[in-house]
Amino acid sequence: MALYYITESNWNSFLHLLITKFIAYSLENREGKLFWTQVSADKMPGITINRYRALHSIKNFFFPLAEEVTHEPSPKKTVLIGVKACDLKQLEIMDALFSGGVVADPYYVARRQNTIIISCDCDASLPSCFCTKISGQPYPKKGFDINLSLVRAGYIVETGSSACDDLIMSKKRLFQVPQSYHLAERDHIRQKITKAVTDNNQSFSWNDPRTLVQSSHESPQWLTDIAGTCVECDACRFNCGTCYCFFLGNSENNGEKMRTWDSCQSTGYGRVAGGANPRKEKHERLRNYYACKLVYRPENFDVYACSGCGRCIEVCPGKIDIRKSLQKLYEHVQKPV
Amino acid sequence: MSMFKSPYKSIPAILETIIEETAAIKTFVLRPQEPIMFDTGQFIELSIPGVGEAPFTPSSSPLATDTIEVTIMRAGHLTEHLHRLKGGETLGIRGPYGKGYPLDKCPGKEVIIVGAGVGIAPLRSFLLPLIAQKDNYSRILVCYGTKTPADIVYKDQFPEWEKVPGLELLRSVDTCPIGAWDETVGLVTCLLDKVKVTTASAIAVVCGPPIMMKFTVKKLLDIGLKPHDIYVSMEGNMSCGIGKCGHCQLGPYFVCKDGPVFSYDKIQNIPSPFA
Repeated sequence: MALYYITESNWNSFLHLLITKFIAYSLENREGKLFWTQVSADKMPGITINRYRALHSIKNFFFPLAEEVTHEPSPKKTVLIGVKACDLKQLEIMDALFSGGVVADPYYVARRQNTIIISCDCDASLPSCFCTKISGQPYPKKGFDINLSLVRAGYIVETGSSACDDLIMSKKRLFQVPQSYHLAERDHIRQKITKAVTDNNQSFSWNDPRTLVQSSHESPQWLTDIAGTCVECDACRFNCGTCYCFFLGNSENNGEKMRTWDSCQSTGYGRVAGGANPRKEKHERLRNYYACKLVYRPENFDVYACSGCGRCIEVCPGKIDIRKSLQKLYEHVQKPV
Repeated sequence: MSMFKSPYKSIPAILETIIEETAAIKTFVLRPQEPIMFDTGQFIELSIPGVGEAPFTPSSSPLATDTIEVTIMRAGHLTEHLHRLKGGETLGIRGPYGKGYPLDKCPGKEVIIVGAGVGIAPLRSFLLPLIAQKDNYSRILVCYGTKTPADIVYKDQFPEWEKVPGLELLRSVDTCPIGAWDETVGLVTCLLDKVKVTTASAIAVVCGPPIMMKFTVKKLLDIGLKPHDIYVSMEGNMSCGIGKCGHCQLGPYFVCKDGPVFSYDKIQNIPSPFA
């Protein structure tokens, strides 16, 4: 796809154009946390497109917490501005799950098809970020309609879909051919932030989480070290950008249904009539969640269902850190018998 | 008028008849608004409006589609409500879902059906089309075990099946008062000791409680069947039916779309598949 350079003021003009055509969401920085917020022509100066990932994952826009799932979907034309590389990786899993399979989910698909994604390179990181440990990097490579890289006095613009090529062609005068020094600056910033995330995770020596979790099924550490402080609050699951599980509830009206997010960490999640439960204990459920993210979904879709966004780490009241959990398993495997 | 059809939306089905099979098991005869074509072993989601929804595998023949029968044990929230129904009510039904029994792999084979308790329900749906074309199979053997003689489902149908030439029926009960049972006493697996199986051309289909399937599979492997010739029903907490909601996950599988019937080779490497 194509590369351009755009000055900050020209970008703002382009953004105004988008905002008139779409419902637009971008990020507002409140004391270091980036919140998704609806933006309008008069509420533009406060947005932060760059930095790091938002507090909440973008699954909310495609798979909301609760929705009715029997009526015909009526999606609104939407644009998300400021999506990060880890968010896009999570969308790969959500797309495979909801848009693929035996039957596509019409509600997810309708929203997805009506949403333009404008992503941006990270140029800062959070303590919980670990994308570089899980075959990612802090700048998008695919999955966006437009990606922005903040450089001096403007952005490098990379297009990722023909829809956006058309959009840009309609305002071609705003976009320039990027100079080699623009691209060199982008590469420099990318290297710098990649190094920062890598350095921040230097104490974790595991490197193949799929094999590690697969071979650690019988490890006593799930019970003794990893799930010990879990209070079963489900916060990690509800904040995970690749958690797709939902509870399908029956409505009063015949045939109508509601769905709400569900969590595999709940005791009754897998229980069947009669009381049999495939994962009775919390450490069995936690082990299954790690396997879901790092073994099973990669087996199904060839991509980790974890992009290293670290949201699960940030929200855990029991201070369970998936990086440290994997490190414990790794050290156990490495330990001489 | 929109042609949109949500995959989560049920169609109405009238509950026509209720047949009491045992103290805890009833067969519900449903007439859906439009016929539901299903493969034997596929499941449906059955709902009572305002109460809830749960997965069941039809127990009727896939060759009959105007009405659909489900044989249900009283075991949980929805089934409690189902057992209280009188007939005539409108329920919700959607499906069918998943991969069913390997009917197309059976011609020319020795077909061994092993069931326990209410596990005979989906197996009846498999047995009926076999009986309808029984000359296509070199053998049809049914091994059925229950706790006591009173727990036998389809009591009125066994005499009919006994009249089918060449259909072998073996039954066992775990316990019973002396003199009350003139067939085998013991676990269903012991019925397999009574027969000689040509393992190279045999195919086995097993349905029952997880522990029963675990030991039946072990027995069949001991006899010499290959893992890919043994089919088990891995019904879990299937909810959406289309591999999205996650509730029925079993290792890398979504039971609702990858199963509920699996050949054993597909699941033998999953830790404790019959947990």
